Amino acid sequence: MRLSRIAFLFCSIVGLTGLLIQPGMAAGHKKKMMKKMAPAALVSYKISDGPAITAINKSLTGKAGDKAAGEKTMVNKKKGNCIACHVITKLKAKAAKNPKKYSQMGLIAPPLDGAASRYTEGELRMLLVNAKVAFPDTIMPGFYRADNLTRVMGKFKGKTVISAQDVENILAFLVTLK
Amino acid sequence: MGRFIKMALAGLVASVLMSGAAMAAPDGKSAPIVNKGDHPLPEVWSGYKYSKVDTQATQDDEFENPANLWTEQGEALWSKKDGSEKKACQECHNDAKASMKGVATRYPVYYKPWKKLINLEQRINLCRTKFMKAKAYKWKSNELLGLTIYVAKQSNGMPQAIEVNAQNKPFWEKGKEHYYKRRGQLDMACAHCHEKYFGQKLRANTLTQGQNNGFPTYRLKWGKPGSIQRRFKGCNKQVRAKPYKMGSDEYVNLELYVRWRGNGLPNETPSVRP
Repeated sequence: MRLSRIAFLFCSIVGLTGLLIQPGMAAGHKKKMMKKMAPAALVSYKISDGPAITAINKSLTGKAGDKAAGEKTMVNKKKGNCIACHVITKLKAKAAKNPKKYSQMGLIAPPLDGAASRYTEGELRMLLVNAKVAFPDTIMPGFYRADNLTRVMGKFKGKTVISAQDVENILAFLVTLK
Repeated sequence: MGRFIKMALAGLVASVLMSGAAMAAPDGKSAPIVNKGDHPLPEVWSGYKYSKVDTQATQDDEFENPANLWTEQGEALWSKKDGSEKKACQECHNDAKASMKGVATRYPVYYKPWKKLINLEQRINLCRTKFMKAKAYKWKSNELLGLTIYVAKQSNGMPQAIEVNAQNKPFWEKGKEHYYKRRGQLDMACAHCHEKYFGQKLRANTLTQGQNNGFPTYRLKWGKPGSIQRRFKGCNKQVRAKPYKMGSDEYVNLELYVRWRGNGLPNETPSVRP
C-alpha cells in the first residue's frame, strides 16, 4: 500500500522518467482478491527516456528473442494479432500464399515497415508492453499489462495478452524491420 | 386567365418535382447526414455503406432478405391472441403500419413507472406481461426478434429521431460515458473503433460507425437476426470485457446514446450485415 502510494506520488511529480514500475504488485486491500485469481507475477521493468519516446531498455526475460516464434505470435489472432491493424510488407508474399493464417492486414495503425528505424529496441519494447505510456490516447492494447483495466472478462483477469517471452520474440522480429 | 393559372401551376409543380429529384435526401448510404456544430460525427453513415456489394444487395432485395422469415412471423404474431387475457397487439394498436410508424426511431424512451429507459423489446414484453398476461419472450427468441423487426420496419425510411430532453438526459449521459470508457483486457472504448477508425480495415473487416438504424439486423455471422443488445455483448467480448446482460441499464442507456449518434439516418430494419 505504502509503496504503491509512493510510486503514485513519484509518478505525478517526476513523471515517468526513471520510474520503477512493478505491474504485478497489488495494493494491500486487494491481496485477497489477487490470491483468488492467482495471476502469474508480472516481470518488473524500468522505464526510461528514449530518443523519441519512453523506453524499456532491458530485456524482460534476459533471454534472447526468437524471431520466427515472434512472427507466429504477431499473426495469431488470439495473441499479438499485430496485423489486425498494422501492415508488414515483408510478410505480404507469405500472406498471399497462406491467406487463412495471415488473413488481410489491417490499415488502422502505421505500417510496421521501418519500425526499427523510427524507434530504438527499448522504445519498441515499451510500445509492446504498454503503448499508452507513450501515447495515452492510442487504440493499441497494452500487451504485457494486467493492472488498471476495467471489467476484464473472467478468463483474462489478471493475465497479460502475451507473455514476457512473447514480447521479446516479437521484438526480435521487429528489429529486423529497418 | 384560366389557362394562365393552369400553366403557372403546372410550372410550379414541375419545378418542385425537379428540385426534389436534384436534391435527393442524404440516406447515409451514398450521401452522409451532415452534422454542424457540437456533434461527435461530422458525417453520419449507415453500416450499409461498409458492407460488401452482395451483402447490400441481399438487404435491398425484398424477397431475398433472409430476415423475411422473422418479419413474417412478427406480422402473424401482431394479430395473434395470447395470454390469459386472450389479447393481441392489434386490439390496442390496430394496424401496425399506421400505429407503429416512427416508433423505432425514438426508442429507447423514458418510462415513468420504471424511472428509467425502456427499449423496444422491453416495451413489447411489457405489453405482453402487463396487458396480455402472457409470458415475456426471451431476448434471442424468434418471436421477440420477429415482432421487433415487424414493429421497427414500420419506420423504414424515417430518420432516427432521438430528442434529448430533461427526462432522458441523465440516461443519455450515462450512455455517452459508457461509449468513451475503455474496457476489457484490450482496453478499448466503443469510440476507438466506431468514431476514430470507422471505414478502415481491422484485418479483413471494415469498421462501421456502429449505428443501430437497421436493428434488429440479420447478421450473416449469426445466421439469424439479432438485437443491438446482442451486438453490444459481442463488441464487449471482442475487447475481452465482461459483457453486461441484454436489457441491462448500461446497455439500454448505451442504445439511446448510439441511436442519438445516428440521428437523421433513415431506418432500414431488417438490415443485413456481415
